Formats: sequence, structure tokens, C-alpha cells
Amino acid sequence: MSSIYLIDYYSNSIDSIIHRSSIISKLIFLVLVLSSILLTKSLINLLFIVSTIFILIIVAKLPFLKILKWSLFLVFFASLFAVSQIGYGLLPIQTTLKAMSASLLMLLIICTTPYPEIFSIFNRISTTLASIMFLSYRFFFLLLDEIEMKLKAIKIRGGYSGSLIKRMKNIGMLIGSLFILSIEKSERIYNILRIRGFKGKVYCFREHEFAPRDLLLIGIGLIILLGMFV
Amino acid sequence: MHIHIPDGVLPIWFWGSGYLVTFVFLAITLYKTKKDIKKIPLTAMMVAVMLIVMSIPLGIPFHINLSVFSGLMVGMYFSLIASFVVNLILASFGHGGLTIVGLNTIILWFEAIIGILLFKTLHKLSKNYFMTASISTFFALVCSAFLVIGAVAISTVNPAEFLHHHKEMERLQVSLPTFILITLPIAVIGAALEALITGSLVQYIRKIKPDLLERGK
Repeated sequence: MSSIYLIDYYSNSIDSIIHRSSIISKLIFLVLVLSSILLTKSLINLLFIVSTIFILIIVAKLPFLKILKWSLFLVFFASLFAVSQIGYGLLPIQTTLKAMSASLLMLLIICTTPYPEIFSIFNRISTTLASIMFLSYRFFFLLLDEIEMKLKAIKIRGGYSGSLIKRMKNIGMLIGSLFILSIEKSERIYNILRIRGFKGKVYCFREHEFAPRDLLLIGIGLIILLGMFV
Repeated sequence: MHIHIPDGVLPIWFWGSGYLVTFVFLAITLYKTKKDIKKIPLTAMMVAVMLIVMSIPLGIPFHINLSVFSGLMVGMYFSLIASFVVNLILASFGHGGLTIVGLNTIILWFEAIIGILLFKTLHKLSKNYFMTASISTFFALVCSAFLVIGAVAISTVNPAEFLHHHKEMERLQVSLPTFILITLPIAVIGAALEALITGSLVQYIRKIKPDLLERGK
């Protein structure tokens, strides 16, 4: 749960050339690099991509070890597939590296871009979808404090001890009270939004302006993609 | 249930089809729900609740996702939007690959649809909310487990195709029964636990805010 807190903190509080790049350039970079990761069959290319992302994480002033630790969640699942590919030459290493580079890439983008900026892109596709994204992000942090407090209370009172059925009953009650609270909050927020003229669209005031610094990420993305054909 | 497969593992045609199917249904859903702004805050809240409950430790290697419950609360159309947003946010912080978002959306929505349809059918036979919600959730999750196994079965073809070596492909297919043997018991236990939680939740909502269950219809 704390990872979303930290991602939100890194994307909003750190200032670097990558943080200042526009969302459009970051999305182009994401598409270029992700395509390279998915299409490449060369181990050298993958090592080059991982090294480039490592350098960009350092340039973005993000905590390197923390990002690496988060990326290992998917590397663990990739290693399960990699084990089944033993005997196919370098394929297990490629599978693990592909998962690691894709995971690091996503974390680099998300830790340098505030969520509302990403969601604002969806306003162009559907206002309903963008509104749900914006509001769920807001509600998530509202509910997070509540649930962490309730979980602590359950642990202190021994709610995690005893039989599995007893534990499930306690968790069911916890989710029940969380849900009722969330319904009340959503109804109150809906009424507030209606009073303020909400018609199904949430606005984001950050403009998607293109600056010369955006060429840096797009350039790196193109080099990585072109590297596949060398 | 959803799949924790990282990027670069599944064949492009497979995850691409997942995205294609998701986008087609999402486009229809977004068109149909264009005017229904009242359900936007409730769906957003459901997304937040789903994201939070996925992080609650149960003491076994399984996490609940409340997809059936969200389907009962927000209805069939909005549950697709909720499933898509949940998977997109999960993928953004490395809880599954970005390429798997389409497939995972289909799996979660499939659970919700089966759950809603079963709940409606069973509710005509019995007015016991706990029982009907629990049974619907259990069967929806077991069906979804088979969908996940099917997806993994298709995905295991990839390395052999990649190498153009048919004898090796036969060897890879042997691992599928092992995968089923490992996955299915955990999925069934998890489904039973989530069924108990969903049953208790629906019964609780029925007592405190019965109108909420009507809204999802």
C-alpha cells in the first residue's frame, strides 16, 4: 500500500529534467521503448535498454534501490516462466530481462509523472473514463488512512489469530465498514460535485506543451528502437 | 483472479487480442453510459476499494479482488470500466505487465458478469442474500480460474513457436497439468474465502443500505 504513497511523492516532489518533460513525450518514449523490449530477440539489445533505463532513473533523481526492489516483483513471476524455458539457450535470461526492463520502464514513467497528468490524457478519449480515474485516485488516498488504522486495530486486538474462518469474518467486517464509509463519502462528493456544476468531466489545468527538453526522451527512445536493427 | 504475467512473456497476437476485445467492449460501454454520471463517483469508489482490498494480507498466497461484489454494486457496464481502471493502475506500479491489462480486464469483467447473472437467477429461487451471493461468487471465481488456466495454456505455446521446434513444444505442454495441479486448489480455496467475504458483505449491505443492491441492476 505504501508504494502508491511513495510513487505519488516521487512524481510530485522531485524535480528533474525527466519530471519536467511533457506527458506526450513520456508516452512516446514509453511506446518506443516498450515496442523495442517486446520485439527484440537480442540479449545485447536488452542489456542496452536496461542500462539506459538505469541511467535515466539516476538522472530523474529517483531512489535507485527502491525502484529496483519494486521491479523485482514482476521479475519473480518472469523467473517462473524462465525456469520452464531452461534448455532453450539464452531464452530464460531474455525473458527475465524483458520483464525487468518493462517493469523498470513503467516505474520510471510513473515515478516522474503525477497520476492526474496521465489520467488527463484519457479526457480526450472519454470523459467518463477520465473522471472515474481522477476520482478513484482521490478516493484511494482518502480510504487508505482509514483502512490502515482499522488493520492496526484488528492486529492489536488479535483479529489475525485463530482459525481461517474467524480471520475471514474479521476481514469481511473490516471491508463492510470500509465499504459503507466509502459509499457515504462517494455520495457526499457526488452532491458536492453536482453543486459545483459537475457534468461528468474533471478538468486538469496542466497544459501538454511541447518544449525542446522533450526531444531528449524521444531521441533516446528512437535510438533504442533503431538499435534493434543494427 | 488475474494474471501476474510480466511484459515480454506472452505472444503479441495473444495480448493484442486481449486489448482489442477490451477496447471494443469498452467503447460500447462508454457510449452506453455517457449520460449516466450518477454512477461515476460510486464506480470510482469501487475502484479504490478494489485496489485497497487487494493489498489486505489474508495469511495465504491469495488476495481478494471483489470483482463480483463491484458488479453487484455498479452493474454490468460500469464493472467493465472499474476492471479496466483497476488493472491499468496495478500495471502502472508493476503489479502485472502493461501488455496484460487487456486480458486481465476481460478476466475480471467475466467474473463480474457470471456473478451478476448467477446472483439474479439464484435470487429468484431464494431470498437468502448471504447464500446467493456466496454461491454466485464461488462459481464466478472458479469459472475465471479456468479462464486463467486456458490463457496460460495458450501462452505456453510461445517459446516453442519462437524456436520453430515441434518436439520441444510437446515437452512444454506436459507442464500444463502440473500448473493446473498447483493453481486450481489455491484458486478454489481463494474462491471459497472470497465467496464468504462477498456473502457477508452483501448481507451487511442488505441490512444497512438495501437500495444499493437495487442500483446495480
